[in-house]
Amino acid sequence: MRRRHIWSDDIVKKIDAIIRTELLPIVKEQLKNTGINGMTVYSVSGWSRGKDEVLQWKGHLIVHDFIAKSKLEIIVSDEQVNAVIDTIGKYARTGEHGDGIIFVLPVERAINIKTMDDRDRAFE
Amino acid sequence: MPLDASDTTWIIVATGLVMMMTPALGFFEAGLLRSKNSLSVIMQTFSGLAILSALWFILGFTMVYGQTLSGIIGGSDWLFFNGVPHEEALSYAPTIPGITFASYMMMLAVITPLLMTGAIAERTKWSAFLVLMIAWSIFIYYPLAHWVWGKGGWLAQIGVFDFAGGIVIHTSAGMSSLAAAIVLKRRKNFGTALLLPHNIPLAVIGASLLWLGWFGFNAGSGFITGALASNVLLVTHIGSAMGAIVWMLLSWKRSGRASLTAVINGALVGLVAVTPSAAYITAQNAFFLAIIAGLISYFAMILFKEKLKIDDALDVGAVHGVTGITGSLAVGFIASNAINHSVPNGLLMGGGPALLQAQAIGVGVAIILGFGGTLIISKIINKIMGLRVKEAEEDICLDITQHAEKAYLE
Repeated sequence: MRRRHIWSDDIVKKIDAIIRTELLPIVKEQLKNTGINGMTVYSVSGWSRGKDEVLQWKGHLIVHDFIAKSKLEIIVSDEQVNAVIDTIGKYARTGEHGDGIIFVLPVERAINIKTMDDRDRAFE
Repeated sequence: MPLDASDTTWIIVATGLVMMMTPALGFFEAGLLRSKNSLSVIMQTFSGLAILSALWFILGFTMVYGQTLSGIIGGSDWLFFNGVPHEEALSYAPTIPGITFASYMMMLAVITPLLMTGAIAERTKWSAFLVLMIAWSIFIYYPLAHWVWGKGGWLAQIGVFDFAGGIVIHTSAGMSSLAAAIVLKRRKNFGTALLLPHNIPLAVIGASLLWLGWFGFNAGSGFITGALASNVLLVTHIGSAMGAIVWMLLSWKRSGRASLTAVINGALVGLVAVTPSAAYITAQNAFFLAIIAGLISYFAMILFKEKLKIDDALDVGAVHGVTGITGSLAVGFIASNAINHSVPNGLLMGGGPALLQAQAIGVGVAIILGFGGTLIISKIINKIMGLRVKEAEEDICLDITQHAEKAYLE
């Protein structure tokens, strides 16, 4: 897919995806093929309904419920949303608890700091 | 006896190896603690290196090795190192210069009180730590070292043998660690995942340097090179290896996964186990001694921490104290006159029970003086200046509240 300029008027969505850290390299690589303009990756930790992480101190098990995950943040146009979701769904999925979650959010404004180009985005 | 160049060379190198163990102890402990308190424990060990060296120079050496006053304490002959010969030997180490002997023993006097930093970690006030280290050296280590190692010391006279410090160093500092941890009380969130180690690779660097440094600690403690030092080095290394293997297997059995924090602690257990006997036993006996000491210390750790719920943060009481006791009593069983002519045979080597009885008295004295003495010293310090930081300071961390520095700046 052809890459779009990030400031084109139809970029309107932010995708937040929390995924397995061990699958981050392949997901990152495959997302490049969807034509997105870039991404931000965070190291995060948290808990949900999945299994707890159990660590040990010299043989004594200690439940350490905050599990390390990776969080992707991608700004895309409406028409790219499904391709990104499909790619994450294909490459970040094992079918077990702890595969993560994808959020799609509207983007209200985006300002390029280099040019201070501020185009309001009306979600008409 | 004239000075011997190769003995002197080896002891100078060994002095450096033992010196390195104190900063290594700091890295070992820092890695096993939370990042927010990692600087404080390195501050304690590194500053301790400086302060306790000065204390030894001023009065420690003469209190331990000066002309004995009724077997209780050394006289003031060598106050401020005055009169310690550099061109002649002392009777303690007849082939090396007196100052080389005194400098080597300085490194042991430095690391011994600092072993307690692992027990009192993450909650002790910096000023109280300084007073504790100085008071402990003067009232516990120097007298005990004189009794066992000083010419005419009363424990030496009843036939107690402690080659490199199982009684004087590990039993005393280990039991003192338990006492100090009891007086300090538990850390907030004791026993939860909030207290997990922050950098295990750093702890492994520390443990590796301790293992290496221990070659100087044990193989230097005979003050000669040659056959004796060679056997001691082998005994030391095999002890460490077997201790590490036992703890690795026990952690694997207990949690289902072999633990790196257990392996490095097991290595230290093996090293401690052979320290009192390294020059008196065969490497074959060291192999089995370290296995027994590994088993005992692992279960002692569980007893202290999980059953008695004593917050000895890094298990100094089990790793050093209990293992020091095991190793020191083992001298009474497996010491061999064929390996070292200065020692009588132990019970299992065809000797009578006399050596074991002497060892038991030495160990008992070290437990009473270490545990009891530290209980009293800690309580007095707690009364006068407070031993522990305020709760809010503990929540924030020691690095910032005690030193206004952070280990890792973001």
